[in-house]
Amino acid sequence: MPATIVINEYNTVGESKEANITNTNMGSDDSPNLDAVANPVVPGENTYEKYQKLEVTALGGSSKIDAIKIWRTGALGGSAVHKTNARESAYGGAESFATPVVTASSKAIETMPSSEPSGANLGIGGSLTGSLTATGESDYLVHQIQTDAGDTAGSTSDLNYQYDETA
Amino acid sequence: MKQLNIRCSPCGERFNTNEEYLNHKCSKADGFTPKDQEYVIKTTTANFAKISQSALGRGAKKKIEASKIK
Repeated sequence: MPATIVINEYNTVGESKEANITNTNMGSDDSPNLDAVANPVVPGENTYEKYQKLEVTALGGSSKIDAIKIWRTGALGGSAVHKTNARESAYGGAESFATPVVTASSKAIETMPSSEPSGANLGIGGSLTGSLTATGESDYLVHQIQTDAGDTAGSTSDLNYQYDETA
Repeated sequence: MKQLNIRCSPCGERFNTNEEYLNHKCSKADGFTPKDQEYVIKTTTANFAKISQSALGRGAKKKIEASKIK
């Protein structure tokens, strides 16, 4: 039996864990599975940061999960930018949690890839070559969309979370 | 162990520890627990089996490549 993987999101000052989120909608509220229509971003402002992790809830018959890659497909509205801590080189190690902010993130400073990275860009245990050989979580993925005053609200794109599994 | 305020997104139930979350029978997943693939398939990721097969395929490919290097 293969491994079971879920995506979790962490919110508020208390680092509340929302396990197995249903979407990663981004907007003007620090909450999981948010209604982006009810919580739109005013052009020129930012979304709240998202803090998310991949979690192996059962390894099944597999021995290892590694090589986590994160990227977005689909265009953002206008000249908005999508920033993240995920990166293939000079990885900053495991990011620690801080209450998500709506001001420009100091943790998500790299441009989110718009195609599949060639190698891992989110670490496990603080390293891009890290792996999970038992239940546990990846490092924090931190990301935020920063908009421009001339942007149009309401873009839709997909965030891709990929991992390799060794039987 | 650090205690977190954990909420199962599909059923909304809250837990103090991750172990409690991992062992709960999710009402939105027909009683499957988060350790079961059915939990993910029935609640958030209907195509999880396909995703899982792709992940296993990449892992198998890496294993073969690593054995060639040796």
